[in-house]
Amino acid sequence: MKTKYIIGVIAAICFVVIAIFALDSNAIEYSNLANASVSGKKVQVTGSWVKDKPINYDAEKNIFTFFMIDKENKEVKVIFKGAKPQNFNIANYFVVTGKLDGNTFYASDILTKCPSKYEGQIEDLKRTSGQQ
Amino acid sequence: MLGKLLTYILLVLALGSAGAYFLSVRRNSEKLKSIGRYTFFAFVGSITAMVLLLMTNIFAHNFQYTYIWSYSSTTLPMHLLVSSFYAGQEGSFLLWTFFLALIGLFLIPNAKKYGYESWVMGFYSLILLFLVVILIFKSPFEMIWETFAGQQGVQVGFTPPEGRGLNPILQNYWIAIHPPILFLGYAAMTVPFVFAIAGLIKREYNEWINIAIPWTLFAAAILGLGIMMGGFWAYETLGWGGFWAWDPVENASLMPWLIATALIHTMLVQKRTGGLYKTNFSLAIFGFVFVLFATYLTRSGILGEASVHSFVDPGQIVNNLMVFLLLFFTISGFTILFIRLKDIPQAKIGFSFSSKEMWLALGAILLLALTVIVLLGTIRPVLPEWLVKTKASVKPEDYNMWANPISFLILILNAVSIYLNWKQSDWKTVLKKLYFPIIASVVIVIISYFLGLSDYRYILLGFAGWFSLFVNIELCIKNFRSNTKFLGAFVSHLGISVMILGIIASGAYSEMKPLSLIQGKTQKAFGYDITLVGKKQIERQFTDREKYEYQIRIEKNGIVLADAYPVLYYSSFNNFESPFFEPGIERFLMKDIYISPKTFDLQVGDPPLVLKKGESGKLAYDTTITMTFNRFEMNQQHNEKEMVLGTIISFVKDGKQWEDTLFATLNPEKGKMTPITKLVKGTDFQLSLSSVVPGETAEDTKMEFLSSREVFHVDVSTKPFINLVWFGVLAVVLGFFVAMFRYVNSIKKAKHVEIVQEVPNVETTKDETEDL
Repeated sequence: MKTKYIIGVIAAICFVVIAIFALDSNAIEYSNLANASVSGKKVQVTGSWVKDKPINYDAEKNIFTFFMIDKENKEVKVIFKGAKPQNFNIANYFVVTGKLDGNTFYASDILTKCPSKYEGQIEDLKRTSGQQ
Repeated sequence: MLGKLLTYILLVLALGSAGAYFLSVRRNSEKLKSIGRYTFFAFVGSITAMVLLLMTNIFAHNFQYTYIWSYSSTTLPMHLLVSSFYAGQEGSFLLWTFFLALIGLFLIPNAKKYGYESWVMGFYSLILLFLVVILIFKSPFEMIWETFAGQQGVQVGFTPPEGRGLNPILQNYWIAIHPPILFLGYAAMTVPFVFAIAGLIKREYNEWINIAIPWTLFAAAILGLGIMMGGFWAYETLGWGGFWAWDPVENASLMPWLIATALIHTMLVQKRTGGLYKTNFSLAIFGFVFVLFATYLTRSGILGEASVHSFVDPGQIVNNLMVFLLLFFTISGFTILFIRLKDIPQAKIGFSFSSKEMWLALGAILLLALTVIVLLGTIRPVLPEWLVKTKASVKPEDYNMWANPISFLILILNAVSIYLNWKQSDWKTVLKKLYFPIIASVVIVIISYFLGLSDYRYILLGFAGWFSLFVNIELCIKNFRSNTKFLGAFVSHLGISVMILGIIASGAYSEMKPLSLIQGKTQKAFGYDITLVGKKQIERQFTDREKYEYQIRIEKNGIVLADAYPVLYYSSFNNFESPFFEPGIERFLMKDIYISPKTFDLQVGDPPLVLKKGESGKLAYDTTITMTFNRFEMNQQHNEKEMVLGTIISFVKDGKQWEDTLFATLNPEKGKMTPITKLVKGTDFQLSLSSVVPGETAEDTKMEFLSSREVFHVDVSTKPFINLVWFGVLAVVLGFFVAMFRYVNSIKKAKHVEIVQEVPNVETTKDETEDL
């Protein structure tokens, strides 16, 4: 009985360790643009949209481009293979996944982070009360 | 006031019920037991009153309650006002507590019959007590002047005239019924837990299994249904293009289901052959703990960065309360198990590799392995840095990498184990029965390879799916008339294999193509001709939204197959700032055509035409058309605020001539002109009277005409055999229900018979194929 338990526990631990390693090796690192340009690896970068620079969607090629600035104020052009993400205009920041090459970030995924609409906000209270 | 008062009454009643039940054991008093019972009934009555109170206040639009102001508005139709009830955390905690109380009504007679009432209901009331404490801090009856205390203009008694409304993506039929079903499933998962704890305390290590099996089946069925509805909603309205994205919120509800399913199999082993006592106790505890964990994950803000869902931090107190709840039941559950560890009988069985119990246990292990993967993936972003090298989230492909081989093994195990005997089997006879299903599945997989299934992982999984499907179909047919009591298991397993085949087909054979649709212009995708016919505004009776339905025609070889209707809308919910989308789905038996809107553009024709009365010019998008501005349209209604400007224009193309009128409204106060765009006949673009260019005299005044073209960018994809996924999950759920009713009936029949452990048997072949 005892040995069976020990084998079971060891097998379970091995499984968990392997799983963590496997998930880890595939995980894409959160980074900033400065580090991304050094490493050249696929990374996730958080940044916001530079509103006074042009955005464009090329429907023929299905490519969306805009300019993004990260927390350290480094600015890059983002080229995304896909349409303009929903809520792009109201998002306060983005998490883009991809590779940085020079001053162009080739994104494979854009996650838009919107201001939460679920919390009771005083602005909303004013709006629904007709004060705004 | 009444709502908050009721919360405190509930607190007292839960405390009273738990106290009376626990004391009744100590004093061995029937009287205390019935006090506990009636206090519990009073609890159910009070929480029902509380639910009705919130509901009537929602219907009455009493926006002085912060909760009601936050999640409803006067424009919401009836059925969506119902979903306002549980759109926020406060209401969903109330709903969960309410369902727990209702289930308690059925639990009391059930537990009483087997002499488990005191312990079971004591712990049950204790759980309710904790939830009521959360409801005190997270009350749906908080007043708006309490929430916004100190804000200017929000004095006591202030009632906003309108509510904020319900998030438009939640305004859907499926999302209206999805949360209540999920919460019912969560509530049902509590029952096996309290039975396990009661069994441990009473040192009855077998009896609780018999009573808890139907409850676990019920919980798994309801949870499964709830999870599926969530997936269906994502497919129907979110336009992800899929039904499962391994999002933390989805994962949170999947984990308790996986544990419940594993528990059902290990309970069966204990019931039939003995053994796995500790496993069953642990899994029953884990099942409940993971329900608590799911609510914690989805209600605390800890995964805010990693999910597409928006999380709201419920505040420090409630966060701590949830952590406490989680730790309390984990620690107390396992402490009781640990105390009884020595007392629990040792398994008498050997778990031979050719025995059914061995294979059922392996199946449970695989389900738990998948649970571990889902758990690790979900909490990955919050794992400490010393353990994982970077802070990062896990992508769906990483989950799939694990889910794929685990599903493969589960399907193989299922197909083989059905033909195995309890205790020991003869491999030769088993293999003989498996010949046909193996050969048939190999043939089908080879055919699908030539049909384009090239990924070896899908090929292997496909083989396992067909294999398990054939075995279960055969047994369903064989047992349908003669031996209905084991039908549930076959139906569920059949469902799993169908679902997996549906996932493979809709995933591996799915094709996607982005299209930019312009009205009237036909484009090709996957052999279909796809045309944007037009759009119209729908749901115009609501002022809080501007919703457009696009009519997209799908044709093949000149025959109109169907029209799909994707939707684009703006909502007051985000101040009409950016559009929301809903996909247009056209369902065929063999596949869905899925049109998912991505974005939309207004192209403006350059240059605009600026014409004096009587002048002509060529249109920007089609220079073969000459337009002439003839004269002003004079017969317009005017009022003080607005002026309507009309121009009569004529077009000439290839010698053909026609006339049209363009209007714009002018607000002289603001100097704002609002043009009404009109489609130019026979073209794909619109024309509007966009502005006035004043001249020295009235005769010199020029009008600016703007051509514009609306481009609707969509992803068109085919989802072959997606219906198999829905059908498969429904079959799984149905199977659970069939098994549950079978159990309830068999228990009813055995009413007067003492429940003793069934003796392991090696009987007829019919019995050998027995499962749930």
